[in-house]
Amino acid sequence: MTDFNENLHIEKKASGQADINSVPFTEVEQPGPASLAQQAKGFWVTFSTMFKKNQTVQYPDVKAPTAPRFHGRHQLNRHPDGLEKCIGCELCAWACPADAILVEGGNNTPGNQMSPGERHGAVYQINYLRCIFCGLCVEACPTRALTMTNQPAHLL
Amino acid sequence: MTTAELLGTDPGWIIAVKAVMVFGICVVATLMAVWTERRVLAKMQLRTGPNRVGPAGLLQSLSDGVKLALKEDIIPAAADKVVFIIAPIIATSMCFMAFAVIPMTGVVNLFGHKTALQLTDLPVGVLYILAVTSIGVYGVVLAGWSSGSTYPLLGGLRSSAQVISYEVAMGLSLVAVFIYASSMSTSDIVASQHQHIWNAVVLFPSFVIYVISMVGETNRAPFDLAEAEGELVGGFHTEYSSLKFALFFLAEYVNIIAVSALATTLFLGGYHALPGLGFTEQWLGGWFTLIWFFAKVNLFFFIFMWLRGSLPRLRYDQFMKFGWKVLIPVSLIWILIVASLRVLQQEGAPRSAILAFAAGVVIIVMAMSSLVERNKEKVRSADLPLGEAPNFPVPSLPNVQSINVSGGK
Ligand code: SF4
Ligand code: SF4
Repeated sequence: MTDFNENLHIEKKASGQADINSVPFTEVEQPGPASLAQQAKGFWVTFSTMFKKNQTVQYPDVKAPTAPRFHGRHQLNRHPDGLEKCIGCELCAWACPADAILVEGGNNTPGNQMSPGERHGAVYQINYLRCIFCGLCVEACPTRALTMTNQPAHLL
Repeated sequence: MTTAELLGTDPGWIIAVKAVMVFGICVVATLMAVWTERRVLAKMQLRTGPNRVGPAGLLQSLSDGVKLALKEDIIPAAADKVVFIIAPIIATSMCFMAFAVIPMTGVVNLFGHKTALQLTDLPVGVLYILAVTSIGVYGVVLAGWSSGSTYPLLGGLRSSAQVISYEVAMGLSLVAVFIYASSMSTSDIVASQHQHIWNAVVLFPSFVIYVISMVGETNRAPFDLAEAEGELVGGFHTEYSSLKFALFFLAEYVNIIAVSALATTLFLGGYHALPGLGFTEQWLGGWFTLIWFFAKVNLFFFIFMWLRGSLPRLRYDQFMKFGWKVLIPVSLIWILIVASLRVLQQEGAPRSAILAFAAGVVIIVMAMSSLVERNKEKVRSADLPLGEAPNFPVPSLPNVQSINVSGGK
């Protein structure tokens, strides 16, 4: 970064700080009011825009493809062997700034082995009326159980 | 038979029917206006606007109105209750009253009775409109004051100052019309334009001043300082909710339609057809003139929307400066010119004298404007006195070193 004050020849005070009163001044040309023709141009912009194509996507009726890196609806993943990745640790729920996630962990029993280890997520809910799609939950997840898909979270 | 004589023969029940019709037209026009404005503004911004309630969203403003009416009506604890309730009523009723003297059609057949769609015809009709619209300002001021809170008070004061100063310019721009038509009655002014030529052509400066000041009058963008959302929350109606807010909303739009209707009446030939299309006035037994009238009103309404879509809001001091230092002096000078020309004409001065006078005025105006321009140049090129440096720290910027903000010694 260049310090623009360097080439201004500002005397330094005894304290080592620049003396503000020695800063040279130059006048800056202020643009006056634009000519009438130029002002009319602005009105032409709004007028001609009326006859252009709308950019609005009528969302629930028309579903446009999402952007390639859009992150939308969440997804809980499984290990290749079919066991759930989620271990019910609630770290995602604690990370969520909108308090949108509810997790209740449950114990894995020999007859009911849902995930590797001792615990699994027994209840897992995301409230999409609260979620702001910040992705902090995905970052918090220690097992990469939670990811976000490319789908819009359909509210309607 | 003049319109005044024609209206004089109306029986009571026709007057009542017309009063209801005027009220209905105002309310329906408001609903349509809100929808139109939202759609047109949306088009100007590459959006669609409301399109889900009813066909093409036409019922949107109706459902908004119903929603407003069903909301909880809150009166703040600090508010002055009586005034708080009266204020929106004043604001709304005055706007409707302005419509009473607007001639909306020529001679028509209403339930077998020959009449015109104009509630009443006063010899001082335009003055009456100016009077009731300025009473409407009370609604705004009282609303701001009685809310018992800061922002509404600021908004109310702003808007009253604004309306009052722009009403001066508006009134002055109308004087030229009075002189030219030698009447203050709306129907006479329409008739005189029918005989000669539209006032918008002959009195073009008055027309421009009126159009500008009518935007200032109605507190609309770019002059919407009273409701500046970014600065004053909502302006004078911040504390209002439910039906009382709806009344202010209604008042705003009826006011817009009223000033547009007045502009149509005074400058664009009222309900008469465009020159050359006079035969259409007989269609539908005279009712076709109503279509011409609303076509012209819509033209003005489009100007309102266009301004709102194109211009940012003015600063308060710029706005006041524009009103008092530009609009009012210009209209005063213009009145002087029109009055002199009129007197010359009435005194039977020869055509050459009138032409010479007009040429003289043009030369004087041109000389003055060039003098002003040259003065401006001088001011711009003069060396600004180098003042003392400001005694507060200023950030250093690339290329721009610093602007002298402290002025001369
Ligand atoms: S994306 Fe953000 S708001 Fe939504 S659930 Fe995850 S942490 Fe909460
Ligand atoms: S952070 Fe991951 S593992 Fe933990 S509860 Fe949430 S989804 Fe399951």
